[in-house]
Amino acid sequence: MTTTTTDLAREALERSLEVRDEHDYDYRSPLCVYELCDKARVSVRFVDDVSMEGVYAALSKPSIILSSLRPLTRRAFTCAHELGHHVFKHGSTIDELKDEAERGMFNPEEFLVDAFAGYLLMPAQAVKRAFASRKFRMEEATPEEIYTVASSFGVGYETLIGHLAYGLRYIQRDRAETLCRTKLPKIRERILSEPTKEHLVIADRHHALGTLDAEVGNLVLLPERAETDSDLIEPVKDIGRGRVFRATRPGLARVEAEGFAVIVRVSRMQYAGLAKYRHLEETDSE
Amino acid sequence: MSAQESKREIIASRVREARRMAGLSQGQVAKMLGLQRPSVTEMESGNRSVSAEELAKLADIFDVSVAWLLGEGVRQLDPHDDRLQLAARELQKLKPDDLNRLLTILASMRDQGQQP
Repeated sequence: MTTTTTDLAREALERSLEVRDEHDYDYRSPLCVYELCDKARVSVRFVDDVSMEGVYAALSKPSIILSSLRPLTRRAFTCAHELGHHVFKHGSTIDELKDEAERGMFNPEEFLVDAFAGYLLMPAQAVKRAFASRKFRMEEATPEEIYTVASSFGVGYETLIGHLAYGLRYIQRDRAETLCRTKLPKIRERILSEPTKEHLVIADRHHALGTLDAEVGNLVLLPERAETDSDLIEPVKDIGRGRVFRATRPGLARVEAEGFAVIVRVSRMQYAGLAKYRHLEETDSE
Repeated sequence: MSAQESKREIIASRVREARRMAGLSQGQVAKMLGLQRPSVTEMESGNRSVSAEELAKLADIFDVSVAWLLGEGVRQLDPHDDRLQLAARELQKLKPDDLNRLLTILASMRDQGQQP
């Protein structure tokens, strides 16, 4: 019997929801994939000296190794992808992997876990809710609106667009292609009203996850009049959309505004190490 | 150099390497162990012995095997070892140095082998 991509996508969707159930996540909210890996007893380690996206190793303690040289949002999606390999009990020897790659054929396992990662991080209900709560219309959303929603899921702009078009089929393919033509620097410039080379993460008043991940040097856009008693992030300026902060050093910063609270978790830029330590503050004796 | 000194040097270098791979500073490790930072510095320079209890704690903190910290077992896994089961879409694109580095990292992890 031939397995089609539709069958694989269905399998990925079903398993992603089962994994959410197994670890007490609902289908309406974003999740932190590193927290999920921790619950699933899968070790996650970032490395900065191996040029690759990620690897899953079916050791006695299952492990995921991710390149910290990829963007923060890319790392989260790759982690979910590698977790998919764990969930579906994939694993081959290095010789087998090389043989498969040389044959250059469609790899159903890779398709399956890519779809799994999309459904796991961005379930249909959560996506609908993310747009509806902000009064964004999915079919007509601007790049800045898509960027804001992507940030609420901790995924990249094009990753969300790809999922909307090919995973959930909420937008047309040509609409996705049009959106992808607007590049990230232009979107950041439109949001901040000035160009920046820094990565920008956003948590608005509808941010459903209690945390927001950033790296030192990133800009963090939070609701207007947002305040923190931490010096891990420092205010840069107020704009119409809210207050812009810059992440200055690793650690956890609690931020509040009227009817809003979030923990901004800052890690070193391109942090290499175990995921569980990425937000540890430096000690006084460093 | 005596066998004991040699062993201490191996442990010192493995502790240093494992700490870096875990993304921790000496100060952070000291805090986790309930020690002062100079104690960790001394461990990593081979000037202080590491007790069995500390080794077990360090292995847990760094997510590596105690055997690897002791310098036992291979430094790098054999790429042709059938027990090593991976999923990696870009493996054939990895440069030899990158693959070697990956195999070294995997060797440090606890209880290498197949999933039960």
